Order: sequence, then C-alpha cells, then structure tokens
Amino acid sequence: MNLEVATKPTRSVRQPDQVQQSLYAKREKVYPREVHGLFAAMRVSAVLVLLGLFYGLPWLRWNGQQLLLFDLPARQFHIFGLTIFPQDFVYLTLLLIMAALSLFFFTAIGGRLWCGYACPQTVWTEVFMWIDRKIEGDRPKQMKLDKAPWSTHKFVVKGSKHLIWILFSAFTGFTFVGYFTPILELGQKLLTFNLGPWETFWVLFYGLATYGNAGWLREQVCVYMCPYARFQSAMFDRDTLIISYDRERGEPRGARKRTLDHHTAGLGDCIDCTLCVQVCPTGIDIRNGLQFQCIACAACIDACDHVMEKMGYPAGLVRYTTQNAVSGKPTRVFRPRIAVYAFLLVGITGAVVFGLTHRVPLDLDVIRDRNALYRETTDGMVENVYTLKVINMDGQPHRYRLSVTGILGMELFGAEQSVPVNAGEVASLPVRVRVDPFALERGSTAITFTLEAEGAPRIKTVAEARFLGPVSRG
Amino acid sequence: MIIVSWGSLQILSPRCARDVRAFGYDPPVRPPTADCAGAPSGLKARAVDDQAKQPACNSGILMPINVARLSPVERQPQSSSLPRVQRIAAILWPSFLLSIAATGVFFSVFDPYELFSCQGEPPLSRISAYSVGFFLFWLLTAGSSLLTVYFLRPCELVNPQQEL
Repeated sequence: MNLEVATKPTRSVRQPDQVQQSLYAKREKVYPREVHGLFAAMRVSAVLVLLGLFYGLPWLRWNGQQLLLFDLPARQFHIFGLTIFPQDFVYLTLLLIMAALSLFFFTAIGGRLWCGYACPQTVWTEVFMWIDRKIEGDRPKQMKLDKAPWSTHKFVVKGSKHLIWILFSAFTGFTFVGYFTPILELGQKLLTFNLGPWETFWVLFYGLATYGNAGWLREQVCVYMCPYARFQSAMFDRDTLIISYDRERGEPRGARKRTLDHHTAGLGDCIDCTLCVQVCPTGIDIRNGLQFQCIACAACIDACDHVMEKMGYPAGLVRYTTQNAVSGKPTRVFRPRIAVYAFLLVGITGAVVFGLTHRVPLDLDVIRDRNALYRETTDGMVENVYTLKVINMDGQPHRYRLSVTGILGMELFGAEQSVPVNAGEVASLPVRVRVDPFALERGSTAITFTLEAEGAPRIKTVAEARFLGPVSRG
Repeated sequence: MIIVSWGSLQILSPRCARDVRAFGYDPPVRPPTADCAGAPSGLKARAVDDQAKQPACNSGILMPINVARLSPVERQPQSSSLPRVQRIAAILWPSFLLSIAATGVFFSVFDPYELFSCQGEPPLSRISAYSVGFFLFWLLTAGSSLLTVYFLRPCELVNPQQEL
C-alpha cells in the first residue's frame, strides 16, 4: 500500500509513531492546536446537535410520560411513546444489530465518520479541549503552563479548569442517570439532598468516567480501548473514504520562501510546517500514511488547506480521498460489500418495524404454586393453584377475560370477572383450576390459558401450563 | 475484588518489569517492512544480519529477541512490555463491556423481585440488585481478563534462562 511508506523524520515535532510504538516510551501529552475550517465547523455542529440531544432528550415529555426513559426500577423502556418490556428484549437486540450494521455500512462508504464526528469520546473530548482553551489558552500557552513550576497562578488556573471539568462531568452523570430513572424526580431528589445511594453512586460513576475519559485519557481511549479502531480494516477497502496526504504532490517536503518557485527548486508542495501534526488530537503525522490511530476528524485537512491558501498552492494536499483515487483508478461507491450491508440493514429494519406494528401488546406468564403439587377437595375433585401475571403492554387500560382448556370438564375459579389492568402495568391473578380426577389420563396434563381483551379481539394471548394430579384412577 | 486487585498489582508491578530486563526479553521493536500492514513506520531501522529470517510481521505478538544483537539504545531498561495503561485497559475495559451485556441479558430474563420472592420481602431494591449484579459480573469477567493478561507473559519469563 503506497500510503504507508515511512518518511523522513519531521523537524521540531516529536515522532508520534515512536511514542505510540516504542513500547517503553512514556505517553506524551497531546496538545491539539485549535483549528478553523469547513470540517472543524462540521464537527462543532455535530457536537452541538449530539450534546443538545443528550442533555435535552430526558427532559422532554409525551402524554405525561418521559419521552425516552429506560425505566430500570419499573422494568419498562419508554421509547418515543412505545413501551418495551423485558419480554420484548428481542427488539432491543435487533436495534443494537441495526446500529452495528449502520456503523459497518457508513464505515464502508465514508470511513471513520463515526469517530471523527459522532463518537461520544470525540464529542466530549472536544468540549473538554474547548474548556482547556478557554481557561489555559491556546496550545503554546498550555504547553508553557505545564512546563512551568507550580505557582499560585498555575494552581488557580489548573484548579479552576478541573473544577469546571468536574461540574460538567457531574452534570453529565446526572443526565445519564436521568435516562434510567425519571429525571424530574431525580432532579427534585438532588435539590433536596435525597438521592438514593445507588443513584448517587451511578451519577458519580458516570461523571468520573466522563472526567477520566474526556479529560485525562483522551486519544488513549481510541488507541487502547476502542475495538472499532482495531477491526475497521475489515470494513475498509480501496474505495472507502479516507484522509490521506498526497505524497506524489507533497514530497520532497521542506521549508521555502513564499516567492520561490519550488518546483524548479526540486521541492514538493509540503512546506513541512507540521501544523497537520500540531492539530491532530491523537498526535499522529498523517504524512506517514493510513494509521489506526487516525480518527478521521479532518483537522489536518483544515490546517493544511489554510496553509496551502497562504502559500498560493491549490488546496487538498491532505484531503478526503480513496486509495483507488490516490493511485489514479476510478472510485466505485456501489460495490458488493455496500449491497450486502444495505440488504441486511433494510431486512432487519423491516423485520423490526413489522414486529413492532404487529406486536400483541399483552403478555401472560403462568407460575405454578410452589407449595403443593395438587390438592384434593372435600368433594373429591383435584385442584391446582396458579399465579398468572397479566402484563398490559398497550398504551391504554384494558379488561381481560381468562379461559382455560385442555381437560374435559375443568373449572376455573378466581377469574369469573374480567381483569382490569392499566396501561403498562402488571396484574397478579391467583387462580384455581379444578378437575374431576377421572378425567385425568396422566399425572401431568398440558392445559392452555387464553387471555383476551374485551372489545379488542386482536389483543389475545395464550400460555401453556401443566396440571398435576394423581395417576389416573379410571 | 480483593483477589482481582491483588492480581493486578502482581501483573502491573515493577517486579514484572525487572523480570523483563533480567531475562533478556525485548518487545517487538522491529524495522518497518513494506509488506507488513500496520507496522510502525518512521522507526529507525535496526541493522540485524538475519533480518530477512525474521517473520514479516509480529506486531502485537511478544517475541524474545537476542539481546546481544540489539544496539545499546534498545538494551535500555524497559518499564514494561506494554504500556501500563494498555494493560489496565485490557483487564478492566473488555470485562466492563461484557458485564454490561451480561447484566442486561440476565436481568431481562430474571426479575430480582421474583428471584427473592420465595424469601418473602426482597432484601434489595431492583436498582440495588441490578447494581450488585453488574459488579459481580464485572468481577467475574475482570478475573478472566486478568488471567488472560497473566498468561500472555512470554514463556521466557516463566522459565528463566541465563542472561545472554
């Protein structure tokens, strides 16, 4: 692969590869220089939209219900008006598979779009770096401050930075917990210092994770912890959009006067200003070729285009391209890999939509009485006791009628009236089934409970159970 | 948790690093080769006579290398074979992800209320049961990751030979 040929060391900038690859070198802190341009603007908009969604969504309500609430204490997920129960776990699994397939699909077409613009690690790191710049100043000031000996000034600056990091992380932790337990109640509890021990714990836990990952670990999360960064090559091919330095055009690199005709002087377009390295949030040199540490944030494109403009050279020395384009071959967007991902994605999405729209919003669980297998009544009948769990998964209350079949002449007690169950609630219904022992052919007979909503025959479900009795006397 | 912490200390302790030095173990610092995708580029090439005999790419796989052949720079003391943050991440992070998945699957099948119902009043609220369950799963999976990291130590360290 011609993109991966090593180049001569860069002047005045540490060799990022050596830091990453020479295994006994201490990690050097990365101080990304602030960058402006088209892609930086896109990333900032993505950050604003995604963080807006994250911090805003739990506060939105719909029909008196939090719009998005994974209500763990109540074992119900409310997702945009839809209520999902543990029985519907398959839908959540399918949703996760859809998310993974979308990631594959977009990666195959657009490369690491996810990493550069949408990954929580990128988004929160971007905010933390913004806080860095607001308080400590730009890259040279940050480096100077870190090198300086401890003083009151340094203590105040560092202290206020960490205070803001911590407050922001704590609010992030609070919002995160607000997705799992109703956020209005959580807010009231917080304001009255009545948070439960586990709620407090998880707010702090997620807050600490934000503080650690976005504040301290940063690019190390992408390099050491992210599985996606490692297996992305499985989704890449020669037509995938990547960020690449144009070696043909750039080399041999070197400093020059602006007035110099560099082509006659035997120089390429790269002036070796190292700005592309300085803006890189993972501290790599894009001119060394495609590297798994590259999160495709396109900061180097913005930086380089700016320099090219100043020098009066055409933009795009570092650019979004494909390996085929770099080697002068045509790039194909539609290829078998894309078709397969698209087919699977459409298929599973269709299955989920069909399943959710045709789902019967009613579930019936039968639990046998644990204390006695069966009991004989005074008039010689055999009786089994069951507890039925009726789960109304619909958005409105219903009354349900219960019946049982399976043994000739069986009688059902405890469900003579129809059973009212409110929307999203679980009703527990103890029932007794009584049978003439002469009707029993075996010690254990299969019976079927049928539950049907009054006035809505589509909402109907069945549950199998066993009826136990003495071995047939007939 | 105590066992896992103790084990982590054993694996991550400087003692391990001393072993590495004493037994002539060297991490796979090798010159970049053209056919080795993902090879560290930009590294100073090392003059090794039988370079061609070495496998084309062993990135990520720990291999013993004859110390005598290394330049003085490469014989410098090493703090560890992998960055410490990578080893800690390799223990805590995959186990964390898997314990989230395990907690999700387990508690979508079993409601803690029902698990405890035969004992009368549940001793834990659902949130507590989920949290405790999550940490038990994490302990289990972290223990497994810890053993994986432990067994990844090269045989040369387990069965020491004379320094070359």
